[in-house]
Amino acid sequence: MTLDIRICQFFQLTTTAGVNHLYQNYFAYETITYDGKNYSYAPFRAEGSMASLNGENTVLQVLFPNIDFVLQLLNQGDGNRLSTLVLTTQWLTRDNAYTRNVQTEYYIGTGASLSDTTVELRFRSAIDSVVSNFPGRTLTQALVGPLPLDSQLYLQ
Amino acid sequence: MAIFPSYAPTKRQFNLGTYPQKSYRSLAGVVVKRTFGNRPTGATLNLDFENIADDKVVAILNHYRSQTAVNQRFKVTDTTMAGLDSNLTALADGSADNLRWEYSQPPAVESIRPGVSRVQVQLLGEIRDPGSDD
Repeated sequence: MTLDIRICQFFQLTTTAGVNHLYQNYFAYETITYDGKNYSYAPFRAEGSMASLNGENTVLQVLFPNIDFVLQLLNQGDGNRLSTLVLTTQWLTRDNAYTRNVQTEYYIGTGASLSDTTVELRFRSAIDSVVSNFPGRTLTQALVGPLPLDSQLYLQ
Repeated sequence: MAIFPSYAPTKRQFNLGTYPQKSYRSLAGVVVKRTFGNRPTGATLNLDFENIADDKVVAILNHYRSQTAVNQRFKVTDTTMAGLDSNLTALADGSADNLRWEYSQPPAVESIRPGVSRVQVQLLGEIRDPGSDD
């Protein structure tokens, strides 16, 4: 029997205004209930590093066709700046049932770019390790100000 | 009009759609298939209409123009599938896989004699979009 790989990705984006956008990319033109939420179909593709043992600030690109609901997503989300994305990768059986293999990643929106056919949403990882050459001091608000959402800390 | 003109073809040839897959062959020869969706797509249906009158040719050409202008897919009627039993019709006309048809290229018209032509139509079956297809 042929080795078979079936993967469905669930895209849950919350804009800074608190609007949720839920899409999945496997079940064509179907709305799928997953983990208690309804995901409609969108032909998106996620590219980039999705998991890293080092936890560096990886970049994820999610590509959509340039169609109306993606533009609405951009308009409502201030161009995908500081939106939050929960990207769940769910492996499926040959019968398209869910397996126990699930990977969930969390990202922060950093912007978007548009072409005549494609909308590219860019994200970076939400939780990062502190870089190795960071000073060995206790991290306080007095040193770095309010904690940022990424790994870019600046001593004050 | 979302339905293909209801004329019986003189020749018909179809292929079922395929699932969206990519195959990878390992060095040991084992094939791994990655499936990207749960529906087959890309069925083909080729129709020949031999020696039909100009009004039917016009109907087919106008159907092509109107459907491609708005990128709306369509169904074919039982007349197009004449001669097949109901189970085979469901497979051949795409309804079993919830497919709708679009033109893969403009109809080819060959003049036979005054007022009579031969038309060749090539259709492509794609997954029905509930938002815009019938």
